[in-house]
Amino acid sequence: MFDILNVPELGNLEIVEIYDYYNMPILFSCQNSAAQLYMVFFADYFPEYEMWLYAEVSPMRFKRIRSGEINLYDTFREPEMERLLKAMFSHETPAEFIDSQYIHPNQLDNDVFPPVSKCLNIQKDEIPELVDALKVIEEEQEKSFEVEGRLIGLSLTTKKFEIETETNDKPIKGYIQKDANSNIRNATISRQYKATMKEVIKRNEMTDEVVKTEHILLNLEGV
Amino acid sequence: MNKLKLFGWELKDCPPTDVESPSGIVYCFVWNNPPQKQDFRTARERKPGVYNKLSDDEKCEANGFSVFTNYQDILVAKEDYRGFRKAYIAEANLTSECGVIKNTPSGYPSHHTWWPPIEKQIWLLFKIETQ
Repeated sequence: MFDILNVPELGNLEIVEIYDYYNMPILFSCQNSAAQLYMVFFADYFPEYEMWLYAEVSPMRFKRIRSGEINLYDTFREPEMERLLKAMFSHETPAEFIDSQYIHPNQLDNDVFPPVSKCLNIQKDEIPELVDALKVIEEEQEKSFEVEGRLIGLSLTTKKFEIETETNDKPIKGYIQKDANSNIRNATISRQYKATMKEVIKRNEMTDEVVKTEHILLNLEGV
Repeated sequence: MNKLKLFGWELKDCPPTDVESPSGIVYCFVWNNPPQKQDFRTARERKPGVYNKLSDDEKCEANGFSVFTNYQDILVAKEDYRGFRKAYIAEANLTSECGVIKNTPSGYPSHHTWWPPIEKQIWLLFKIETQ
């Protein structure tokens, strides 16, 4: 079944980031299994259907869009490939795919596009992890370190953890090491722990820029 | 806080614990005047393909309804999206009997997710705003 994340021309899409949400993501980035990135925008509403626009974006342009250097009007009005995919879906439940076609932005009324003043302004240096779009080198730091805090998230299925500390504004998030020891497997949410972890720094192979810093949880000791 | 069964009840930790009791005016977009039941369908109902790809937190939001607590924000959203320019702005005065609400400022600072009681005819709470 086709929907806004499964369009015939683009394939199966995964959301990278949601920028505007109103009862559903209405402005977001996504990526298909071929690592192509798209910016997607809820462009119009008609009594029988809604219209969505998909603009292909390169990782470099994506970065400039996220920072606000390129506004959202230009994102869709001046796409790199000089084309947009226009897709229509009915309001039925579930939405029925009606049609999709590549068009030149000139073929659309100007007021379909976001206002010129609308920009993203994402301050985070981290850009979301993209499927092979960036060649990333991982550097695991040799030295481990300890932090004391409250365990607020732990999933042995997804291998993710989250610890809230007094010294960090945001919780420390990351992954549990491959073979989690019994201390980690039996840990209790909301309890105070001394956590031993390591940092893994991911760098863009081309620019050497740090794309992401991840934490690997090695041990938890109750305090 | 609420003993009634709220939207999102089938999910674990939904609505989340850091919600508030609503009190005051909220605004939303509707396509009918007066607002109808079909104006209030969750993302889960309308876009199941999208819903299935959301994270747990996002799924919980998708079991609620988007409302704005600040009138200026809904006007900005209306300017940003041609689709919304064709919609009516509806308003309701929510009380503690109307479920729970949480500020989820995705794109608009006063955007809230509202999880009302599932039995409530929420479209009857709203009237078209005439400012």
